[in-house]
Amino acid sequence: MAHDHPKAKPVSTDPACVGVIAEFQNSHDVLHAAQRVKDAGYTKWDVYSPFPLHGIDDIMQRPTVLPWNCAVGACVGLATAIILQWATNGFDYPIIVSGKEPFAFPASMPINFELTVLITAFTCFFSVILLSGLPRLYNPLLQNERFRQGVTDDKIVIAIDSTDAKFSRSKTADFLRSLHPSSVDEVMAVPEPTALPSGFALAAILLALFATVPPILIIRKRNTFVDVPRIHPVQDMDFQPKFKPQKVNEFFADKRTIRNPVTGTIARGDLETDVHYFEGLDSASTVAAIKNASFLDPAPNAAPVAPANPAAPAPAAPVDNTPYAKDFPPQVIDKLKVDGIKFVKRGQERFNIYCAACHGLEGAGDGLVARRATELEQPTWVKPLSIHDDGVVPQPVGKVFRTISHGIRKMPGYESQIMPEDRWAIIVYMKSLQRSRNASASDVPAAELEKLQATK
Amino acid sequence: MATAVVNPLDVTIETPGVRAPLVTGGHDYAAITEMVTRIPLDKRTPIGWWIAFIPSAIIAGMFFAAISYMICTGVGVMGNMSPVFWAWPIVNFVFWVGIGHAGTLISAILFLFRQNWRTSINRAAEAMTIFAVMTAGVFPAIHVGRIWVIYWVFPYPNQMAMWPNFKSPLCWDVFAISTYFTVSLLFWYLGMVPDLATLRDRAQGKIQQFAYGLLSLGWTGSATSWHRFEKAYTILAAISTPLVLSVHTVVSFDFAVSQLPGWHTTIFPPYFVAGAIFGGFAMVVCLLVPARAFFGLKDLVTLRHIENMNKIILATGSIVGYAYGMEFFVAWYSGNPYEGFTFVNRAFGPYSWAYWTMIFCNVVSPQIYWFKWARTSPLISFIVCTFVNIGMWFERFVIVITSLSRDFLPSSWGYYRPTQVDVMILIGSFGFFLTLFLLFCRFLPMVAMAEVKGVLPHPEHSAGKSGH
Repeated sequence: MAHDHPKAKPVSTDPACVGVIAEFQNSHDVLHAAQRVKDAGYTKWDVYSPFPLHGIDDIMQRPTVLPWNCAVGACVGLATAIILQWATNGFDYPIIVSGKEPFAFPASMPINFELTVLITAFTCFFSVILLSGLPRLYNPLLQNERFRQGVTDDKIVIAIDSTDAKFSRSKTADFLRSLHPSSVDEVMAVPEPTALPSGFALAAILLALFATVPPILIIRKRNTFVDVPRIHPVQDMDFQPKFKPQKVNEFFADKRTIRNPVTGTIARGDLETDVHYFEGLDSASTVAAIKNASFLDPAPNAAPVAPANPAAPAPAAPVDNTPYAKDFPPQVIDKLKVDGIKFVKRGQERFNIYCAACHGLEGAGDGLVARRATELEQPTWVKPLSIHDDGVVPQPVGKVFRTISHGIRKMPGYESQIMPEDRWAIIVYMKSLQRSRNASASDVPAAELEKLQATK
Repeated sequence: MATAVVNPLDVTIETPGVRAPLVTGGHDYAAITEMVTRIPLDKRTPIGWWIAFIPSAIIAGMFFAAISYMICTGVGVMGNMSPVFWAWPIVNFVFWVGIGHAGTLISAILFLFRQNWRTSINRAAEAMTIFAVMTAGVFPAIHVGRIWVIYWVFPYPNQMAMWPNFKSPLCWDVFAISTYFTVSLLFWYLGMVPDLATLRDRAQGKIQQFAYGLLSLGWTGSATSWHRFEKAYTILAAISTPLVLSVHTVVSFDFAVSQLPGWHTTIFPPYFVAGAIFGGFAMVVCLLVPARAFFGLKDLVTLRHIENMNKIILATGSIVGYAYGMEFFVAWYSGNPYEGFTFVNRAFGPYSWAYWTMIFCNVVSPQIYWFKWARTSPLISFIVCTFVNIGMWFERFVIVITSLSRDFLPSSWGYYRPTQVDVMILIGSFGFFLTLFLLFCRFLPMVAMAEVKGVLPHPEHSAGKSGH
């Protein structure tokens, strides 16, 4: 390489000599020479060869921690694997599949093994690179033509570094010559080339300019208003050729996408024949009417519940011939017998969730929503009734049930939110609330009454 | 020993007490450097290389075109359909992963057994391993349907509170394949650093000097470095050895852990590993027979290397044949009617054509290697190894397709047919693999020079007396 030649030539006036190299033709001679270098007391020297030399390690005696690094890597890999599998499948989200425990040690073995190997391999690889002082972008030895042409091809070189305590430029060279090498060279420190390759600066500037383009585009895009939908490259299943409810469908004569059930059919689980339990009506007087009614008619028996005059706060509707159930259905009575106070508590819990927002925790019609609406003087607001109102207290349970189910005035129906059993539980709790304001001393058990009277 | 370097030399003859040289032609270190570095440093790319490369690249383009079409349209364009949902992609995946076993086997297991003949072929075989695993990795990635959320397979904390199921063999597979690929790559690259330094020191062009300089990390071959290098190489070989065996074991778990007749057998791990080594060596022979002739490496990759690999192919092929027989025996001996039906169905059912193709290619064709003239003939080696590759592909086809297409319920039986996209993807995968291999041949040292020099007879004195 002609262009490198001037650099490689030793210049006698240059004081920066980094070392002396001696080139040998075969490995046998090198081992003798290496032994002599070591015996002469040099410490900062090395042997460079195109392949590992057998026997040189015994002479140089430079042990390495590399195997220990790998052992640490193996432990780290194994621990990572076990912790990863235990933390995810055994702790954070335990799942039982294939009849194995959430963290099953036998089933974790394949991944334990793989991660152990993986981390060990990485440790090993980076250890050999870093412990050899690599990667190294610049090395003065490689500036020496003879060194560079030889050591990765077929020559073996002994190099003594100038930082060695025993190093002396002439004496060390003479010493190396005494080992019968094929040549001896001084290696000069060639300053690292400071000049960048031509065109490098231009390329760097252009690259830097181009690098600013994506962020600028992103900033611009984030700060501009766009009224077209954004690009949707990955559609997943966002746009499907299907009809949705409320959309027009030309296929049917009525153009409705959502279809009514076929006349005379009932969805599974929707056959609610027990009018007492599900409708709050008196079974005996309504069963005949229900049997003759079409299921698709909008519940003729329930029609009078809708108030004729929404503005009228009076609970007593003008004429109401609905056959309300006067007693709790037998299922509710059975439930009360079995669960007792638990059932009332259930009712309290449901009441506090669904009713108390308007009716208040005590049912006095002073819930937060009611108070706020009154405060704002909302013109369309209809104040919720107190359940202790004279018109409400005597209402049959069936009527209360139907009010909860279908709503009244501004109150929406809760049929879809509250299961029938919970609606009955609410009524049981409501009855106990009403009783609490109209109780007499005889309602309290004798023992409790005595206690109460004693405290007063 | 002096006669041992006379040319021409038949290194395939074993003379008791005399160690046949691993490299023929009586080359010295410089000649080996020259022989290997000449290929990547040649300024003019040989016409023959272009003749191989251009069709490969076009076929690789078809590979990605077919995959892009599949991703844009949906996995329905592949033939995977009830009851055979695991069809073409898994067959190709297992085939290519199997191919990838020879490289690390040569570089790790044969290293631990001090089989020095490996030095001439390990670099190319390892490259082949890496490219085969890359090709294999494409298939599980593309068959998931929504490839843009493929990162869901990784264990990372996410809003869905979703972790991989670490008890699933499919998850083990992800870890096994990615570990195998990573470790093979590190092993390959580490072994190549000294040779890249040789290329750096002999490169003439600026770009070559820069690229090889960067890749060689400033390697000088100091004894200190070599000491660490050899330690690291041994450790990597030691951990790669069980790794090689584990990879196809875990792949076989994908099948063996399920309950399907024909899959649910304990013979799968050893049988898969033997099959993988069998197919992998066959691919090495298929690649190296033309490469050694074309790039003039016949003195480094000698007939003895071909013969040794053929011996391994004969041995592993016989193991595979034994496993086929043993599967039938166990199906009968277990008394399980479903298991019994599955194997009778394999041999005489609708896919019997695939089964007997497999038997001919894998069990019958390697038997010719009992004859030395066959083992030492590059042409016959190439032909037999092509058969073996075909046979190993059909082995996976038979296992996957026959078991799935006819399982417990006759009412859900079906007959799987690949689509045009399937066929294009299979052919394309070969193009992708060959493209990578040809690029490797052109730009990287195909033979581990430093290792070959290490096993050459060392001249003890300048006179050049050979010995070891």
